[in-house]
Amino acid sequence: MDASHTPNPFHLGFVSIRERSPHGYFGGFLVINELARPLEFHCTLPLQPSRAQRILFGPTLDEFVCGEQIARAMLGKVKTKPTVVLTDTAAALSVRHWIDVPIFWLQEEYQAEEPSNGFAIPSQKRSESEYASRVIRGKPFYWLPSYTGDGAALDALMGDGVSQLDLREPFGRIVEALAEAHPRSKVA
Amino acid sequence: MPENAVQSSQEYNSQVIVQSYADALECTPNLSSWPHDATEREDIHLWDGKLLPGLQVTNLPDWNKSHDLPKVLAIQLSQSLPRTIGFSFPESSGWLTTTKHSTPQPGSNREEAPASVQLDVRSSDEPSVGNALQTPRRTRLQPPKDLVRLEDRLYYVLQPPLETIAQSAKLTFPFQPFPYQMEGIAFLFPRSSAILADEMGLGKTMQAITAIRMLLLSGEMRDALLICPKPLVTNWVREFRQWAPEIPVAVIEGDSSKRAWVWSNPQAPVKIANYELMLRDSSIINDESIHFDLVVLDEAQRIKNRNSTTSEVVRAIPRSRSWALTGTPIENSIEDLVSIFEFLSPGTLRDDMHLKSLGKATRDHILRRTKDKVLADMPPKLFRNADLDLSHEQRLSYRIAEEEGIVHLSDLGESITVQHVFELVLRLKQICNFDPVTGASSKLERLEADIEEVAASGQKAIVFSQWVETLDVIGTKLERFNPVYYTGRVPSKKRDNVIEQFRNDPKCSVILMSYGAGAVGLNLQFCHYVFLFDRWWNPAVEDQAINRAHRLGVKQPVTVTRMMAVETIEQRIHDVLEQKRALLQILFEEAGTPRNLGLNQQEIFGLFGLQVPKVAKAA
Repeated sequence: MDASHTPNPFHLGFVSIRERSPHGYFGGFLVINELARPLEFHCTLPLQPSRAQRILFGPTLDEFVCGEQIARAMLGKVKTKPTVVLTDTAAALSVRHWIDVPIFWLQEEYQAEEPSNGFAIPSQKRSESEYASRVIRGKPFYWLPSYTGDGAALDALMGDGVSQLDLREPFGRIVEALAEAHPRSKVA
Repeated sequence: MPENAVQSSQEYNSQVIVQSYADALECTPNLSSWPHDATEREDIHLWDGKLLPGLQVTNLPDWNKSHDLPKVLAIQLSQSLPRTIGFSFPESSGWLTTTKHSTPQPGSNREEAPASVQLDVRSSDEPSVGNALQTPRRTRLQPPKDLVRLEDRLYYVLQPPLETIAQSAKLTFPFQPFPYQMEGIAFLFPRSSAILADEMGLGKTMQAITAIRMLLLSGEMRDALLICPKPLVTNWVREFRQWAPEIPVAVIEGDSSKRAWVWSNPQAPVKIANYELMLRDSSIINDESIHFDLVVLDEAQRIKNRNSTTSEVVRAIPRSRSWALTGTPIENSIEDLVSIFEFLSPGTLRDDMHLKSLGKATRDHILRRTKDKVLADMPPKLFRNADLDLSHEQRLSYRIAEEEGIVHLSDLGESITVQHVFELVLRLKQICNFDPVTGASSKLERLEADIEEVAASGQKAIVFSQWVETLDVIGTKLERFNPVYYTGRVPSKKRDNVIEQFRNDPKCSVILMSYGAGAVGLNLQFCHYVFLFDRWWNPAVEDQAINRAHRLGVKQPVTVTRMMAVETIEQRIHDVLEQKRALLQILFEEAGTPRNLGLNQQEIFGLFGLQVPKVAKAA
């Protein structure tokens, strides 16, 4: 991520990584402004981990693919640096090791009402207790515990006008955009 | 365990492991130096060490014979990141906040906005605080199918829901739009050619205004021209004031110099003109210096005749987007729709297209909803057929007129035309209303009794007729109910006053309307009784008339009384129209679209058991 850009307190990043058989993993990254309007969108081509990767990474494969590969690739291309990144994919939190922006996992519980287009969030391998967390207005936000300062960024985010935004809604946009960008992989 | 069994197991394991390496080889080129011959495969097998429990390993290679140390195989995984595709969207320059248009512009019709509410984006069962993590209602924009570039499609896919846009721009509304209205706005917003064909009374005006408002405030569009029938201009101005109070609106009116100034006035992003005026100002609007980002045609069936001057002038307006609003995109025949598409997207449709092709070509451009589908809780329309026998005097006059008329038509032979038949139909219909000699009228007697009841209950009624003279007679008879008239005779500038008087004067219980003047664009939902004193030729026009009262905001069921003289020409017309009404209902649901919804030539002749003459057929 190009650190030369001045962060805007109301530029938010949303990362969603979905799995769709038999194509593999699809990543989408959306940056919005304070009015929730899109500024940037990046997505990856479908990524199918190799057999060797599956064997060697074992249960940590999702973290490797989602965080170190897909999320890192997309965030590396962004021109409008967001202050905070939110993700609905727990495995993407590991991208925090590669970027200097706090990233929080918003546990998804809205899928039933969103069109999934056959995209599924990679199953969560870790227990919630392995993450640092904070409950804000009854909803938990999780982040990697080694980044102790990120909690303060979360407080600042929620108290800074973002409370007017629906923080789950952009993930639905990403899923629809992935379906739009990968029509040949649409589920019949 | 026999030795051969052990060997088999070893082979099995070896195959599995080798296959794993083969996979790895495909994905990691740096493994290409790995051993391939059979002997070394056994090394691989031993390196893995995963034999089935209890098996003995035989023929192990002697490491000390061939190597000092075991072979070390390095699997180096690729460090390259996946390929990405990225798009940047221009940051809205913006959302012009609703306070920026604080000063009324010259030529505009801005007045103080009525009381308003912010859009409630929450579901009905949600608490009213802390909405950042709640699940709100979301109406998403969908890219039109004719958008091809991925970037263009993603632009709409990635836009926030309309409720979020409205909330973040602090847009206020006079009342909460229905979900289907939000869907209508989302339909119009991204489309460069669209027909909003909702059934009358569902709020096409509000949906169009809100879509225009959002396009203007989001900077997607700078100006719009709205063209409507002349009597509806004031209605549109009023609706803009209500639904988009911050948008300056200019009405094209006055003498030619004033109109020329208003046409070129950049201060008012929305201009409203009437169809009649378009003809007079065609030279101005076809000038190269004039261009509109959007042109909206209200009551777009006005251009159903594509050869009319109005249609030609309207089609020639330089514009980027074209929308049409009409409750009856097919008023008479498929050609009506083709004509509207000549304005929206020239060349898309042809008269001779197969119905399936027609449906496929128009599907993404037309949105039509009916009340029974989207407003399950809307009070119903209650139809009451007042089937009346003619009075003795009427029956006598009717019989004579019909017999003489048919004889006359027969005498005409091959020279008979549809106009001849029409004349007889009209003559007979007038007798069904009143006896030409004595003025006797079983319809009027029944109407008077019904209006008495309506007025006594403090309600109001609309009476429709196709003849202004008939309304005059009715008005005289109903004088004690203080009727007001809304017909072509009333100057358009006085029509609003007529509506206001009808709305506000408690002594005024009746409004007498001609189908031509009162069938479109009026909001009379405070009125719960509609009387069709005589019937129009086309069910779509009757529906338009009825829906003046049965529209959004109506609080009670609307009772529609259809007056008909039995065993007369009215009943014969009624029977034909009922069949067509049934077809109209399936118009947008099935491919079986009727070719004509009004009476065609053959049907008009058939009213008297006549055949269409060969000459008329050829014509």
